[in-house]
Amino acid sequence: MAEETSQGAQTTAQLAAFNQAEHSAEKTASVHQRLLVIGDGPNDFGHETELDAATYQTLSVLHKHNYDTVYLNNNPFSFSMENACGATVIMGDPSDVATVRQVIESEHITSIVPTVGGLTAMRTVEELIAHDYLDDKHINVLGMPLTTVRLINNPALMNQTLRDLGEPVITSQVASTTSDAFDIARQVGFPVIVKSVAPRGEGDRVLAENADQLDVALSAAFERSRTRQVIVDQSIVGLKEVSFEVLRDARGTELLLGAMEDMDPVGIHAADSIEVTPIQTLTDREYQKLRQAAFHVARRLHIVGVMHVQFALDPVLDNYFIMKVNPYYDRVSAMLSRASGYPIALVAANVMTGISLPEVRLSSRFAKRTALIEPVLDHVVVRFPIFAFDEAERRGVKVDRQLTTVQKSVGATLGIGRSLEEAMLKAMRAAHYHNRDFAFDALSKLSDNDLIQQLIHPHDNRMMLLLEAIRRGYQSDELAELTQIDEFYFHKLRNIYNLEVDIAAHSGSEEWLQRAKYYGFSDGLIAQLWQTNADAVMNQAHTAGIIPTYKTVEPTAGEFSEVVPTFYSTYELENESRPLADNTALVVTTGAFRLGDGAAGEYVMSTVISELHQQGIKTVVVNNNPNAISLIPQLTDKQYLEPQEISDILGIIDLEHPRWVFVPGNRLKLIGALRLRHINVIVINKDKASKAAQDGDQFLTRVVYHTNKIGVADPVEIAQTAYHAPTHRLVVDNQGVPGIDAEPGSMRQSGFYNTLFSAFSGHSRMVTTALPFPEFGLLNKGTGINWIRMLVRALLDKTTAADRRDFSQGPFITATRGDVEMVDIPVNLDTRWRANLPLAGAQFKLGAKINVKFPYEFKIIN
Amino acid sequence: MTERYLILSDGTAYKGQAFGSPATTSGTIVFNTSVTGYQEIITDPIYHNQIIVFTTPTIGAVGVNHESYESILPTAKGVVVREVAEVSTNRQRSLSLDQFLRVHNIPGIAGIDTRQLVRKLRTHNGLNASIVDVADEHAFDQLNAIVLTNQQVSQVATPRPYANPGMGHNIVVMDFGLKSGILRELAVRDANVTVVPYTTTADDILNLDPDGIILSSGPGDPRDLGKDILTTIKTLETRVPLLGIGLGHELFALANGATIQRLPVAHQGMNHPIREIITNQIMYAAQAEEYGVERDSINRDQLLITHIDLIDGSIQGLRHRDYPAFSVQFFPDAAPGPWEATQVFDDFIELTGIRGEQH
Amino acid sequence: MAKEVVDAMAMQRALTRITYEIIERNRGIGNLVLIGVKTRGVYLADRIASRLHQLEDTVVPVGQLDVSGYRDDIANSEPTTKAAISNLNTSVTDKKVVLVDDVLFTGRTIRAAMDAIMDLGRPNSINLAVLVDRGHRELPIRADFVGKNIPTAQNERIQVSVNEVDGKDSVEIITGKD
Repeated sequence: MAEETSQGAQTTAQLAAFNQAEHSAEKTASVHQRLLVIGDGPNDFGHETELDAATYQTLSVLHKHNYDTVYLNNNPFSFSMENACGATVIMGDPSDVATVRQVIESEHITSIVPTVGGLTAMRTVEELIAHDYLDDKHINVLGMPLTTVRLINNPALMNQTLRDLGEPVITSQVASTTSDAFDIARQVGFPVIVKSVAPRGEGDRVLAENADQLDVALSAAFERSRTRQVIVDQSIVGLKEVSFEVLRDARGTELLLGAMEDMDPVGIHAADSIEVTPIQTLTDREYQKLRQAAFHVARRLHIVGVMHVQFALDPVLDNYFIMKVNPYYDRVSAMLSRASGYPIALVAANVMTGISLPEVRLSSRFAKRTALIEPVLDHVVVRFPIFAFDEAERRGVKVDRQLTTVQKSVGATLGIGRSLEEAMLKAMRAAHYHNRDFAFDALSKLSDNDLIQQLIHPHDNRMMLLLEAIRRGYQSDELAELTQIDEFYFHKLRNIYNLEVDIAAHSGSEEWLQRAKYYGFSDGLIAQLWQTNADAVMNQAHTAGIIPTYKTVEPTAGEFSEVVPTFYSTYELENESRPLADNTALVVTTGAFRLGDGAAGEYVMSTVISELHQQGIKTVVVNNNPNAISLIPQLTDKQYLEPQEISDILGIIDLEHPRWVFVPGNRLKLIGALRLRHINVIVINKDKASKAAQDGDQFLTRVVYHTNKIGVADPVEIAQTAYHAPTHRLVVDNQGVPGIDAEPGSMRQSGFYNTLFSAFSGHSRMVTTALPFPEFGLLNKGTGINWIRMLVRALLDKTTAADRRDFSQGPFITATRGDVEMVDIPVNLDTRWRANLPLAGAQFKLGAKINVKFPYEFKIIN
Repeated sequence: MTERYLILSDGTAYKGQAFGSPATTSGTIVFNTSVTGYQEIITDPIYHNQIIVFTTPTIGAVGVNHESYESILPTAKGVVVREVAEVSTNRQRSLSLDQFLRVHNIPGIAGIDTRQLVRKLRTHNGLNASIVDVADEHAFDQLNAIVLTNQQVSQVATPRPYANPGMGHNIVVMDFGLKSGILRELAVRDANVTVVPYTTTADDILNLDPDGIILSSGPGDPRDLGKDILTTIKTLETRVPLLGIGLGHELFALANGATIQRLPVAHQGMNHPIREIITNQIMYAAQAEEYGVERDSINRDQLLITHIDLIDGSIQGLRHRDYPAFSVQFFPDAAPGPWEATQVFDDFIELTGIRGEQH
Repeated sequence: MAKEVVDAMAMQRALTRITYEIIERNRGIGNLVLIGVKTRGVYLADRIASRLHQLEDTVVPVGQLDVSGYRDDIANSEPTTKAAISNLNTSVTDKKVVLVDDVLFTGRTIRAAMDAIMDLGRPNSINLAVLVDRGHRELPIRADFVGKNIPTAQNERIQVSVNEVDGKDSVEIITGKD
């Protein structure tokens, strides 16, 4: 192309000067720097493995460009710490400023990467800035100027900046008297939200829709305030909530990576909302207006990388408000990346180092210059939140199931289809993997009064509720009015309801089976409607040749030939997925996060995948968690973004004919179903952490390999751990624990086991269980040996001499730095869920950290 | 729901569900990858005699709005999509897409594997298609026998001049199949606009004493419009600031000695990066292109290449070296499309302003 | 009080338009020399040169003119030093010279600049490009290429900022004391 050559020729000093000068003051990185990537710290609410995924990709890009990189983290379930692409890994607390300073000094850091460590990393950097530390040391931050970092952590300053820019933000003012407060309310209009300044005890936000309510709210709020002041916010509850994600390079090129809308209105936390991409209910004018606004903000903040802007859109008054500005990688980035196939983290990492968007080189799987094409989709993606209230209620704890501005969901699934109905149904059944919770008549006994109450104040089960309302004859416009949900969705739900009625009326009909599948109904749902079982439906579909066609998830809507190996199923004409090879392993992951060891599960299964790849095996993964590290295309040869019901897995197996299917140990039904079909299942054994661990318990960890290819006597004792809530400790100073035998038959499958004993009670409570996944974090991080990889090699009969040595060195391989502790992080589920009793037990913990006295270099033998 | 068929001139037939008009129609089949703006796209006169495939899975969800018409009477020949939202939900709703298409005699067909269709169309350019009740031999015979007109412009452009008054610069728009977005952008800048038929002579246009002239976008192959128009453009560009858009850009290129070719694959969408060469900046704009200027045919002593598409390398903008005359292949009116492209109108108005002051 | 009248985007567009006009007026850029008036005019000249380079793949020489002795916004001030051209590695004789300045006000700076150019040789022509013409001319001087005409009162000031020295691109009107 002639244009290319003239581009290449433009290398005069003049042009370079021009490029730097006119296209902003952002500095470009030089390869002589030493970068510090600040880690994400422990997993928590709304913090799954998306940051670990982005970190892994970022480290790989930095490695490719020969950057000298240091990575600081203390998350035991961090995959990146064990697969750091050549970076120096420091075990230490990334949220602790003293630790970060120590690392900066001892490692001679020149630049900081804060964008893959979430808000925690941004806060750490802000604290460093606050003491002029970075300026004094001449350390720069990649991705944005220091002034922007400061804005992110200061909402008032951010609002002022946006207002100066002419971008609308929610009016928020402080009042010292009732009459001042009424002045504000008159000015911004009802409804308003009243909050106390410096409240005694818990803060509160009270919605006032009229003068009377405001009176009441004010007297309470003044009373509660220690300064006798209140904040009066303009309320935007009920508006449409949408997110736009943009990317900007150092030369000022900006592109829209994607946008999604929340089905639920403002007032329900975005993470608890049902989210849809591409945008469904915006006109082009509204869409372009918000795109422009997002660009405007990115320019003002001098972002070099990704930024997500959350808007509240008022479709009646035709205006909008900016609710949130996140100039770093987050769950929206992860979701849009999975949805479009555009490699957001990879491109953002390139751009952050100063490479311009036209210069970003992606793998040959993508069409030329894919980095510069604004992604467009020819499929619909729905993100469906998962709530875990039932777990609490099963333990007799009452929780408030109403959805509010506080996030209550613990995870999410993603459903992809060629219609909203299909995507919605796929996301829903991925979320409810027990069919009993997902029955169309689940709410038939609800009173009309309760129904209306819940329409206005939605709970976690609102999809079922909306379908129930449609069943009872509510009209779309009524429902739109009650729920503030766009009428479009009620037409779609009505369509689902009508299909349900029609399918039920045509039991056994091949034509209706075809149509049901086309709209995303699962075997299980159809079986319910036909009063048969899922196997019967699956067999009928199979016999009739109604089989899924897989389509590529790629960012150009079919315009270009992209060979991205990411697929979703639908029932149409053309199947684009071709089987990989003879030597293929299908890996079923732990799926969406529920409660407990979600991050540990992702960590273990991703390590399994990585080891399979290492062994020269082609890997295929099936998962539906938008935040999952196991879904990033760098780890596997092929990805299926699919629910994980038996028929979904079998559909993939029918196409791929994998030699092995790896399944986590808790998927008993699936394992049974696959074994019944003589499929070669390899189970990655696990047990729930909940069964274990009372204060003072100690465990002996062993590995068992039944065909004994590891070359040493089976079972091998490899470690001893102790538990004192909330700390799991790897014991290294012991003299061995003689006489602890596992109960007969308790270690039937190959894998890792924990035998519980209490050192204080004479081994009286001996119980052997499969090693809970979180304990792998402690083992690997504590010993510097990757036991998961070793297990995979053993399962494949590929144990190495080094493995045998490690195995035979047992018992009690020493930890790298004396005692290593893994500490469960308290999650305030009680407050979020407004539980009437404390939620205790291991399954109510979401994350953990490795405690270190001093940061040290972490190395692992993979 | 009625079943109907989309049949292609390569012999394939697709079964789908009918919506919109029950008419049987034929036209060239093209695909558009825009995610938003279905109403603007369907009503744009450049789709005269064409059947439009939308790659975005759902259209119709925001109904039909008065502000999104790009022409009063749309003349597209059909709409093909995976699914249509049959009811409008937008606040300004006046019609659902289904009703709208009925009124304008445009058939739609849903339930099509549009991804498979697009993957075919991206390598089979210029296929004709029909939307029919029965996909039998007779239907294919009819489709193969059809001769589509090459006089699209005369069928959609205004036959007589009209005014769109404003208090600002005096702009004459030559209508080759004008879309409303151009007038909207001129109105925003308070221009005093006279729209004239594309056959109007240079003298008649100059008698309107314009500060600037716009050659509008429009349907079809610019080479089918005849030499007189090129002569007119050649005269006008030496006298008054001039902006060509879409078909107008292709005519401007032809008038200045370049040649036009049919693109191997038509490109319709709004997600390609376009580089403005002079600043090396990248922008996005709506594009709907079946023809393009041949790069090697451009006389560089006369024309500057100002914009290129970074994906396919196509010429996206030209400028005369000696006169204040320029043109863009993309659609700067942002209806639909990204707003950064509208600065083309700012540039044009500024140019006319400066000339105005110098008179 | 500072009021922004030209933002970064508008400034870029103005320079782009001026560049096209220079090509148009000079029938090409073969014999062209740009001379920027220090400080900001130099950066503006650089930007025009890089635009020309983008378009034509030709490097147009850019000279720097120091007129710090001439403060044409201070009435009755006498020049303390003579204007001088530096960084120009080509003769101006028979060249088409385009003088580039940020603001055109009384015209005295430009007169000094023309003197300095004439001292170096005999150019084929001298044209003047300015980003802002604020009026109040005291000499019969007119710009050939104007980014923006901004009528101002005598007691107002025009502040042109360029990214290279000021960290931003803008034109502001300053009223009152600074």
